[in-house]
Formats: sequence, C-alpha cells, structure tokens
Amino acid sequence: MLRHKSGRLRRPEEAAEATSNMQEEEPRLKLVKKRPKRKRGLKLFLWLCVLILVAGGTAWGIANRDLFSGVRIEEWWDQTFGNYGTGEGFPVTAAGSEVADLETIGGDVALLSDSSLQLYNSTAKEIYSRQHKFQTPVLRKSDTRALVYDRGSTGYRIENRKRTVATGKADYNLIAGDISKNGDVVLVTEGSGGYVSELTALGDDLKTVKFKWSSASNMVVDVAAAPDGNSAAAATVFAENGGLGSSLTLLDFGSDTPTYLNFDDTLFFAVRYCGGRIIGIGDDRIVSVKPDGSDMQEFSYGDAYLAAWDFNEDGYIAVSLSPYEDRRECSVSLLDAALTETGTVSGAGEVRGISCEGGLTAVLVPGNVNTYSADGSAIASAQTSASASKVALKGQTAYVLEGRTVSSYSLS
Amino acid sequence: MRNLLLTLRYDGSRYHGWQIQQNALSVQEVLQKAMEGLFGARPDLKGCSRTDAGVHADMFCVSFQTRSRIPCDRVIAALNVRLPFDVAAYGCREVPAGFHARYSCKGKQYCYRIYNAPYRNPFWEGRALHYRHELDTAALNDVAQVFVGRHDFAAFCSSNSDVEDTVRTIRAARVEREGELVTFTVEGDGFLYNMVRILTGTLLQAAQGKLGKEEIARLLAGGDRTQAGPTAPPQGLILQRVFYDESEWEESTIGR
Repeated sequence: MLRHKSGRLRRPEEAAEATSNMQEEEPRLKLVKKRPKRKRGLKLFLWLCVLILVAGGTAWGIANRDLFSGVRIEEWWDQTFGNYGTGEGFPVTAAGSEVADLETIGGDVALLSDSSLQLYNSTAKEIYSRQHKFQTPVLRKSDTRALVYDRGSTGYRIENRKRTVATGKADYNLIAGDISKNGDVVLVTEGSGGYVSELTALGDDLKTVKFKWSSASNMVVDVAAAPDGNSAAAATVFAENGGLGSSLTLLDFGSDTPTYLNFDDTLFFAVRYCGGRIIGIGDDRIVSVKPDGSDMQEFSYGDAYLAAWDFNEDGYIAVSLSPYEDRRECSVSLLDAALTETGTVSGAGEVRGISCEGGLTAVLVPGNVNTYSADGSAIASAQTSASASKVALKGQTAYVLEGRTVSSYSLS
Repeated sequence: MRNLLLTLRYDGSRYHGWQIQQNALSVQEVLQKAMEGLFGARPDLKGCSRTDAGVHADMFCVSFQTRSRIPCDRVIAALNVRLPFDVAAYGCREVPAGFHARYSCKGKQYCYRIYNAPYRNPFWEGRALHYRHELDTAALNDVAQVFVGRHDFAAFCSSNSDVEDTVRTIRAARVEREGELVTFTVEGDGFLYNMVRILTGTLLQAAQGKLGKEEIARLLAGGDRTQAGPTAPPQGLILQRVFYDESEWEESTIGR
C-alpha cells in the first residue's frame, strides 16, 4: 500500500493511475508555472512606476514646498472653488478720486485708485476693497496676486483674493517693483552710500531675501521678475562720455555677475518677461532677448512715436505708433515675443489704450474699443464713452475706464 | 434789416471747432453769446467755414442779419469787450442782402505751420506741429506743386466725410522756411474735410521718402484715402484768408 501525500493509503493501481494523471497534468502544470513569472514581472514594473512617481512627486514637492504653504493652498482653493456671489453687473465706480490703474487678475477686475485697491468678479461683485495710504500707488500683478507699492516712498504690500498676504517697508524710496508668477517680489529702491539703485529680491513672505544687487552707475527705471522668481531684468539709464545710455541688465540670482546689454542711442523705460524672453521697451525701439542675453531682436519705430503698448505673457506684444507727437493717426503692430510682426492695424486713429489677452488685442480709441486677432484681422467692436482712457481685456470682454467708472463691453 | 459781415481771428486751442456742439465749447457759441449781450438777441450766424477742433483762424468771416443800428466800428469794440481772450473781432462791414459768408466765398487760403527743430519750443506749443527731423523745404516745395491745379482730392478727404463732389482747384501751394518755422501755404477755391491736414501729412511722408511725386500724382486721380499720408494734427493749421468778390460792396470799416 502506498501512502498518498494527503496521508490516505492507496492501492498501487490507484497510485499508478494518479501518477499517470499527474504526468498528463504536468504539461499543464508547466504552462501554469510560466504565467506567475510574467504576472510577477508586470506587478513589479507597476510598483516600480508608482514608486518612481511617488519619489519624483515628493522631490518636486520638497523643491516647491512653498506652493504647499497654507496661503498657496488657500489661494488654489479660492481660485478653484471660491464663490463670491453675483453682482449687479458693470459699471462700477472707483472708491478714490483718481484711478491709477485698471487690470485683470485671473478672471477678476482690479481697480487701483489713490485710496483703494478694489477687486471685482466678472459679474461686478466686489470681492474686496482694501484701502491704502500710498501717494503714488503702482500695481503689478501675477496670476493670483497683486503687488501694490508706493513709488517715491517706502510702502508695499501683496494682496490676494482673500487677504493682504504681506506688507513691508523699504529702507529707501521705491523706484520700481514686480511680482513673479510664483509670488516672489523684486523691489528697486534709491541707493545709499554712493549707490544710485539697489535691487532686492524677496520671497513671497516679503521677509526672505533671495538676492541683492546695487549699482553705482546704473539708475534703474523699471524692473521685471522672471516667472520662476529666480532672476530679474532691469531697465536702467547711465551716463557715459558726457551722454546718456540705457541698458537692459539681466540678473541671475544664482550668479554674482549681471549681464549688461548697453545701448547708447535708445532709452529704455520699461522691461517685461514675455513668452520666455525679456522685452525692453525703449523710446525708439523694442528689444527682445533670451534670458541669457542671447538672440537679440529689435523692432524699430522708425520716425514714429510710441503711443501705447501692451504684452501678453504667452508671447504677444501690441505696439501703437503715431507719425506725430500727439499720438494721433496711430497704427498698431502685432508682434510675437521674438518681435516678428504677425499683423498690422493701420488707420487705428488716436489710440488711448491697448490690452493683449490670449491671441486677441483690444485697442481703445475715442468712442470705440476694437479687438483684433494676431494677424491684424478685425474681430469685434463696441461703442464706448468718448472719455474712455484705459482698457483691460479678459477673454472676450473689455473692461474700459471711463472717468472713474469701469464698464464692460462684450466683444464676441 | 442789415446784413453784416464780421471778421474774426481766434486761437482754436480751447475750442471744439467753429460749429456749435452739444457737449463741447465752440467758437460759434461764444460769439453768439457775446452778440446776445450786444444786440439783445442771438442772430443766426453764417460762418465762412467749419474749422475743426484745435484749428486756428487769422481771418474768419461771419455774416448775420440784425435790426440793430449800432455802427459797424462800434460793433467791433463792443463785441470785443464781451468775447473771451482767445477770440477777437477786427472787421465789420455792411454787405448786400444776398451775401452769405460761406456761399459767397470765392476761395480760401490755409497755412500749416511746422516747427522744425530737434526739440520742441513751448512758444509754438499748440500753434505748430513739432517735427524733429530736418525738412528739405526746397524738395517739399517741389512736391507741393503736384497739388496745384484742378484735381479729384478724394484721397485727401477724411473718410468720415459724405461729400460727393471731391473735385477742387488749388491755385497755389508753397513750402517756405523762416528759421525753424516751416510753413505750407495753400490757396484754393474750396477745401474738403481735413484736406489741408492730409496734404500736410502726405508732404511729411514725402519728406521721409515714403511717397514720391509720381505716387502723389496718381493719388490725385486714384482716390484711395489709405494710400495718402496720415492727417496732421490740428494745432498747426490756420485759416489765413477768405476771398470774396468785393466789387459790389460799399466802402465800410474793414480790419485789413
């Protein structure tokens, strides 16, 4: 008698039959044995992928941990789910007596006056109205935040939809400032101890100093913060050989040595980041370079005067030029970030304001706001007040400043 | 009822042109207000032209009818007391009953002033166009001769105008320089809306080498406004003279 592995005794004939069955089964068993190897390999691979993703995500999270600060999460939540209700529609009136700026921030409309910063949603529901005591308020924006600083004095603050994120006081009077996409701030003040300008880059808490630069020869007139907050560009003016020159000064926060792009026949008065390039707006030309200073492109005004300009971070620039000093009889040139002309609008008239948004440009002339595509084709038009002075385009809606009132015009 | 012809000069900087506007101050309005104070009623004023906002006039003629027996020379002094600082009357005469300041006009002369220097001059601000690039006045004068003659000036008429007959005769056109002041003087039997300013803008385009004599000559037959130069700003333009057939007029007080 043979003992089966189960312990049960079996007759030899049974055992033999069982063995024979097993032999028949073996090929099947062999096939079955191959499957677990592949299944295991696949599982291993998937787990590896998950591990890599988790590790990568953790590393990214650590590197960008500021994005996960309480304020950032709060902003993300607010932008995604925040519901401030429905307003009674435009027009709305500025709180102060003089309007300094009109901008769109995210999908909201920001109105900066001599006494307040007001933010409205697209239905004109007031999200906030925050007073300030700045004499000469200037507004610069990122996707979700506003930097308001007092040019010629020392105060500055960062606002988001929910609250005033931070406030600060500079040691010396402020000349220029900007806020990057990630919330870092660059401020330029008058210098001391022989310096004419001092630039400080701060983290979004307005306390962490990321970078400092002082110049004894270059007077900064405007500054732009790179979207990632790791560099900045300054438009400066300097004196040389009895004449005035101007420079685009590129500052990498990881390097001690700025890059100077000097011009002795152009005076820059504004600088911006646009489409991954740095754009310098001058009195007789626009210059565009890559962040490392290479690949310089120029757009000359010729004999014309610059009447108005705007840019879009995606890489669209609109420039209004007039043959006359009084900025009448303008034409509008539409450029990409490398200053290649993509379209022209001739006979635009007296251009009072320009706003670029997406692939559209809104042009404000007395009594009308007109939109054009990147190739200069007319898209839509709306009648405005003859006193309209500023325009901010968001989607297919133009927000127009008429006196102290902001009206909205649908341009579809 | 007397039909009087009044001659004025005015600085158009503060005004939205001659004709009465609903929401802006015009020369006609201030004159009518002054006349109301003098004559006790607002007469129906017929202006020789409709100057644009910001355009000046060294001789602007207005005809009107009045029952008042105030002598013409006293009208001038009395009006000037009532007119603002930038409008002045200097001529008044009685004219035939059928005279109309605009329809009786035989021609006009305009002058466009350009202050041609690298930097602007506050004393010419609002009275001349500042043009910073050197102008070759001899060359421009040569180009300006293309305008002389009877032509279709449709290309030199504002696109806002609905005038159908755009043919006019330019009797003389010249570009002259006196120091830093360059003047473009043009005389014709009539002018379309913004015509002199567009002619000036076209001359400046020619000065920049963007338009040649032949192209301008083609425009005088072609009529495409977009091909002519941009409209020059208003502050440089002055209505210098208005011509009438004075052979039938009696001798009367006249400012010049």
